Order: sequence, then C-alpha cells, then structure tokens
Amino acid sequence: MLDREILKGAGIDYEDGVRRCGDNSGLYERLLSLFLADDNFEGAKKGLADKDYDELFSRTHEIKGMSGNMSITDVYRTSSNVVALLRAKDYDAIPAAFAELEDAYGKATDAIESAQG
Amino acid sequence: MSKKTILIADNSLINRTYLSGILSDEYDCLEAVDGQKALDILRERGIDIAAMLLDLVMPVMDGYQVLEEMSKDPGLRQIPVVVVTAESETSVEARALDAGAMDFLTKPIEPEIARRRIKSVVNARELEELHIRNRLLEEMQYQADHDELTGIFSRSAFYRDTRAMLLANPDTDYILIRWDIEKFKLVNDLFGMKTGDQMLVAAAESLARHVSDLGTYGRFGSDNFLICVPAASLDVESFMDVIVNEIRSSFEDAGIAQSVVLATGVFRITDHDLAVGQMCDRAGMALQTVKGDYTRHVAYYDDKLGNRLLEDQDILDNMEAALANGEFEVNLQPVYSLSTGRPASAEALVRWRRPGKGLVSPGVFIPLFEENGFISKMDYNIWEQVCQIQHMRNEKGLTPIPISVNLSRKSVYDPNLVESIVGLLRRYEIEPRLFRNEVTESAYIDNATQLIKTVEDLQRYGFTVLMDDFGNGYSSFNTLKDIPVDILKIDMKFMEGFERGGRVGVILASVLRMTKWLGIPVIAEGVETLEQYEFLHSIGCDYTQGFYFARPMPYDEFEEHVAGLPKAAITSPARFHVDDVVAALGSGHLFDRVMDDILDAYAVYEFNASALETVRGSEGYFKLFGYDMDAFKRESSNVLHHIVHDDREYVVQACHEAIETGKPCNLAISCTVRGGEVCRLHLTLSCVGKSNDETALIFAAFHLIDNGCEGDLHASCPYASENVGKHVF
Repeated sequence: MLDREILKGAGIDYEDGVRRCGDNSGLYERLLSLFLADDNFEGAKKGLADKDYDELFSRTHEIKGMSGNMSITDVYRTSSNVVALLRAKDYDAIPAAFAELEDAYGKATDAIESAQG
Repeated sequence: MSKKTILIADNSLINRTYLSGILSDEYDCLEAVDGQKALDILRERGIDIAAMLLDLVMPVMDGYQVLEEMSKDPGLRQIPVVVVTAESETSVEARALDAGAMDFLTKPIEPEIARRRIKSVVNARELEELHIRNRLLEEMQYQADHDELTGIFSRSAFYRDTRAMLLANPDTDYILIRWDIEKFKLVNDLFGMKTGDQMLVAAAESLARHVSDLGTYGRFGSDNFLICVPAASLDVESFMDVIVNEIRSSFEDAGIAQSVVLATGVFRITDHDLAVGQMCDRAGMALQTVKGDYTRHVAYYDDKLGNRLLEDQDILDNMEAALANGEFEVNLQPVYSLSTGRPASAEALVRWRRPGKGLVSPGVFIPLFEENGFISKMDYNIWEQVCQIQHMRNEKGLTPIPISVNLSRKSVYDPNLVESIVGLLRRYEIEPRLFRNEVTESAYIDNATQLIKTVEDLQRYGFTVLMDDFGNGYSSFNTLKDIPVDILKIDMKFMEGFERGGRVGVILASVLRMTKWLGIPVIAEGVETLEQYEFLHSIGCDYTQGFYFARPMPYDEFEEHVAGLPKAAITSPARFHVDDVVAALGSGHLFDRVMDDILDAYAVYEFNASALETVRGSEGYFKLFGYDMDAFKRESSNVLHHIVHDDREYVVQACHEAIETGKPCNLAISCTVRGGEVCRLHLTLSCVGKSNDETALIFAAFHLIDNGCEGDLHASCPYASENVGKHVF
C-alpha cells in the first residue's frame, strides 16, 4: 500500500487513479510502477535537444495520455501544454514549457519511488 | 461458459496493462505491440477473437493501416474493432469509423464506458453471426428436406414426417408404397436428362395432388417414389392406375412415345416401431419382384419374400467360402442309348451341399451366381472336377464315357473360355472327345454372333457341343440353321403329354425326323415314365436321360451303377417303327445307291388299311409309273391308284398276308403305267416293319410280265420276259 500523501504532494490523485482502474488499487499501483520504467520522457528530452519536433510531439503526446489516465495531474497539465504549443508551432515557447514538464515529471517519479518504500 | 477473447493492440505497455487490467475479469486478453503483430494474432486466432481494441497511433503499422488490412481480408472483416483515440476529435473518430471501426474510445479511458462499448460491440457481432448461422441452417434444412428437382420431400424428410405421422396415429393401419417407372433410364437416354427431369417433376406433382390429403409422400431418389397412407384410404391397384395414367399423359404431352409401366412394392405396416427406412427397404424388396414382369405390377411384401431375400444374401455371403471348401459337387446323370442299353455319355450337374443346411437348390443359387458373375468360378470348379474324374477313369482303364458340362451364359461369352478349358484338359491329359459342352439355346438370344463363334472355336479344338433346352420357346429353326451343334437335347418338360400322342407327339416326331435328316443325334432329357420312354423309342429317339433311368448321382455311385449294368439292361422292343426304317433307308449311303442307281423297279411303302403310300422308290420304279421325282418329293403317292380297280383288293390282302406271316407274298396285277398303258406286273411284297398303330412298311419288287407297254419304256425297260420269276432283292 502506497503512501497516498506522498503521491498527493506530487500531484498524483490516488483515489481518482484507482477509480479509473475500476476500483482496482492493485492495478493502479502496478501502473505507477510501470510509469517509473517508461521511457517516453527520455525520448521527449532527446527530441527537444535534437529539435526533432515530430519526435517531441509523439512522446509528449504519449506522456499526456498516460498521465491523464493515471491521474498524474501535474504531468498531465504540463505535457498538455507542450503538446498545444507544438500544435501551434510555437517552438520558441517550448523550452520553458518543457522545463515545467520535466519538473513535474521528476516530482512524480520521486514520489512514486518513495511511496513504494 | 468460457470467457470471450479480446485483442488489445497498443504500443504502450502501460496502456495495454491498463486495458487488460480493467477487462480481464470479463475477457481473456491478448496483447499486440504494433499493427503487424495485431494482424498476425488476428490471422492466427481468427473468429476466436470477439473484439479488438485498437490504438490508432502505433509504430510499424498504425491503426488505420490495420483497419485497411482487415477490410481486405474476408476472414478478418467481421471482427469488431473499437479504436482508442488520444483525444476527442471528430475527424479522427469519423475517419476511424469509415475505415471499418465499429466504435471508439477516447483517452483518458473511463473504465465503465470502455466495458460497455466493448460489450455492445461484441454482442452486436454475436447477434449478427447468429442470424447468419440461422439463415444458413434454415437453408440447409430446406435443402435436406426438399428434393432439389421436384420440390417434394426428400428421403430423409419423408422418413421424419412419416415417423411423426405414425407416432401421432398409433391405432391406424398404414401402408408404405414404393414405386418406380420401368426403364426410365431409356427416357433419359433417348429424350435427354432435361425431359426426363420434367417427367419426374410431373410425377411428383401427380403424387402431391393425390396424396397430400391422405398421408406423406416423397422422392426416394432417381425415379423412385414413396407414399405412406392409411391402409383404408386407398386401393393400391386403382391408385397406381390413376398415377400411371397421369404420367402417361405427361409423356404424351412431351412427345415421348414410350409406354409407361410402373413397378410397385407395398409394405403393410403392422409394427409402428420399425424404422421407416426399413419399411422402405421391404417395400423395395417387394418392388424388385415385379420389376421387368409385365404381367404383375404390384407386389406385397411378406415374410416369405423377406426370408427368401435373406436366404439369397446368405448364399452370396458364403459362396466364396463354399467354393474354397469344395462344397460344390459334381453329380453325373447317365444318358442311355436305347439300342445298346448302356450309357453313351453322362451329364455333369452341380450339387451344393452346405454343412448344417443341406442341399441348396440350383434353381436358387444358379440365377444368383449368374447375376453376380460368381458363376464363372463355379463353372471352372465343376470342369476341373470332371477332368479329375476322367483322368481317374483313364488311369483305371475303364471304358471311356464322355461327360458333358453345362456352360453358363457368362462362360459362353467369355473370350477366354476355350483357352481355360483346353488348359484344364491338357493339365489332366484328357482328350476333347471325353469333355462335351452343353450350351443352352436361350444363350443364343442374347448374342448370337458370340455364341456361334464360341461353338465354332470349341468344335475346332475337337469338342462336341450340345444344345440344351432345345425347343423351349425360342426360335428353334433359326438356331439350328445358324449354330453348328453336334447334338441336340430336348427337355421333355416342354412337351407336356407328348407320350399320349396328339399334336405335341406329332411335333416331336417331326423334329426327330428333321434332325435325323440333318444327321444330328437327339437326347431326350427328363424322361420320367415308361410310357414316355416307349413313345420316344417308337419315334426314333435313341438317347434318353431322366429319372426313369437314373437320377444324377455322385461319381462313386455312378461308377457302381455303370459297372452293375447287365449287357442289355434296357430291352429294345421287338418291333421298330416305320420311321426308323424310313430314316435308315433315307440316310443310308448303301441303300441310296441301291435305290437310285439301278433301274429295277423297287419301292418301299407305308401301308395302312386304306393306302399304300410310296415312301421311297428306285429310279426304275419312277420310270415305270411315270412319276416325276420332284412331284414325288412334294407329295407321296398312293400306288393303289395306279392299280386297276379289281386288283386293288388283292394287293391289300397280299400286304396283310405278308405282314402276318412275315414271309414274302407274290402276286400278279394290272397297273396303269406311264403313258397310260395298262401293264401286267408281277409283284413281290415283303413286310419290313410294323408299328403299334397298324402301319407297316412294305417292300415291293416289280417285274414286268406283259410287255404290252410301248415305245421307250419297253426299250429301256430291263424287265425282259427272260427275267420273269427272278427275284433280284
């Protein structure tokens, strides 16, 4: 059983996540573990560094979907932002938005790790 | 009930885990990481997969491509797909639906919505499949139930319906009628299958019209139909008359000039529990008994028939084993020569003794074996046994007696026949003259050319060929003309009452006379009484075979029988028949010379109370009386007409005297000779033979006494006065 308070601090809405999992907390927690192993963020980062905006788009889009489904709310918000900017082709604003995403992403993964104990 | 399987196609592990996670309590979940793998699984599992959740954005092959591939493949087309879209965008959703997706889910996924959408898609698909399957089943059922051609019930539907009808009416008596159209194949052959089919449809319609209110009906197959109705509801014969007339009309309307005859078998249903199929079988058995019988068209099954058919089947099942066990035995029936009193030959007949069942009548097994071809094997077995007997007799130095074997129809038409027989004879070192072959006259009807060839081939090898059953109704004269037989066998059973004389007796006598002229010996077969034997003998038949003399017997008995016969076991009657002498006179070369070449006037007459009929005369005789040879051959002449009236009585008296005393009688008479002259002739009469019925044969020698004859006659007449009183004969 994970510490919900820790998760909450990182913007992870545990109850909602479990609900989304059909009230299956075991499933939700498994998904959170998988989130830790997920490589989409690394891929997004590389894409940004390479200015490969297509790659950046598909990666952050994935992150958006994942985080939305798992009620990892801050990551969801920040990744949605990046996606919107990419759609609008507002490339200059991206680095800043991405920094926010990175921040939220880090907090979330840290929280999950420590919540696992 | 096992869970249905759904396929989750998404490249994201988290998504797959999530979807499996929320669906696995209801479904078995399979996962694919990209479009290609998804297709692979679909192709492998096919209809097992109740639905697929398909992510649109995947590497290698995305969701749209997967949908496209699926729509091209008839095996995959019908698998329902729910696409998973990243956001709610009408264009994406629309495109997905157009591409063949059945529904969509938008991320983030609400689990309840996901479950419901998947469930509804799976159910919808199931319902559709059920409908398709039902429709197919209905069609198949209809096909099975209804005969494709005629539309009436097929065999299985008939069985089912009839069963139901019988169950529903346990107290009613029913009959099952099975009928077909004789020689229907000809209609197809001559008028084409299409016309044939039309006629069958018409027959079916006829049936439907008349039977649908009474009971069940259907088509068993080809031109074979079935009816099951209460026994009281119709009279079979009248009903079939109605049907046949309707079929005849349709034939006429179609321009088919072929007579219609139906063969009908009826089974009376006493036991409602019997399988309908079996009832049809039994009606079929009854039907078979009237097939080809143009006098009987309707037959009823009874246990006797059934038993006979069971017996027949039993024979067929055991015939090969019987052959291997040597159950077919040769029995020999002697053929006696009446003049020698000893067997001239013997006929080999087959006897079948089954262990534990006794003798099987040849009347039962021969037709069966002829039909199925087994007869060839049996024939060969019999021939071999005969060869073995002959070989043994040779070894023992017994007086050779030829044995004749019967050639079945099948053997006669076997191109290897002569080879087989010759081979056997060589193996057992038998001369052809000891192995005779009997061919039945009816074989001539089937294929005369082949039969003639076979007979000629056999004769070429030195075999004697007998024609069996001569005169039993086929065209006997033609047969004799065309087939070069050596000996004829006439079965007395075809000559009912011949021994009592009358028409049959006269015909038989004529046949025997004819065969004598042709030089063909005749064996009278089936002689059973003394009366028959005596008559045959009196009309000149020398060879007889039959129960009166001896029954067919196994070889050992035969040998004993032959050995035990005294030298003259059968006594020849003291008298011989007129025709014997006639025949002898007619065919003896020596006598021909005597009668034809010399110029003296001799004649042989058949004498009865009122006439002295010339049977044979020398050339001198003809010259004397001025007879034309051809005219004589056409009609015999009563020489009494040439004798002057007053002298006729003397001649008649002299004949009686000659007959009674057995000594020659001399007298002088006046006759009208050629040219109308009246001459005085010296006549010597001798009785040569006498028969039962007061006819006698008289031999007469004429000498001219008074040569008051003139002209040529005198010049060529050797009866100079100096010859008077000399007897030349």
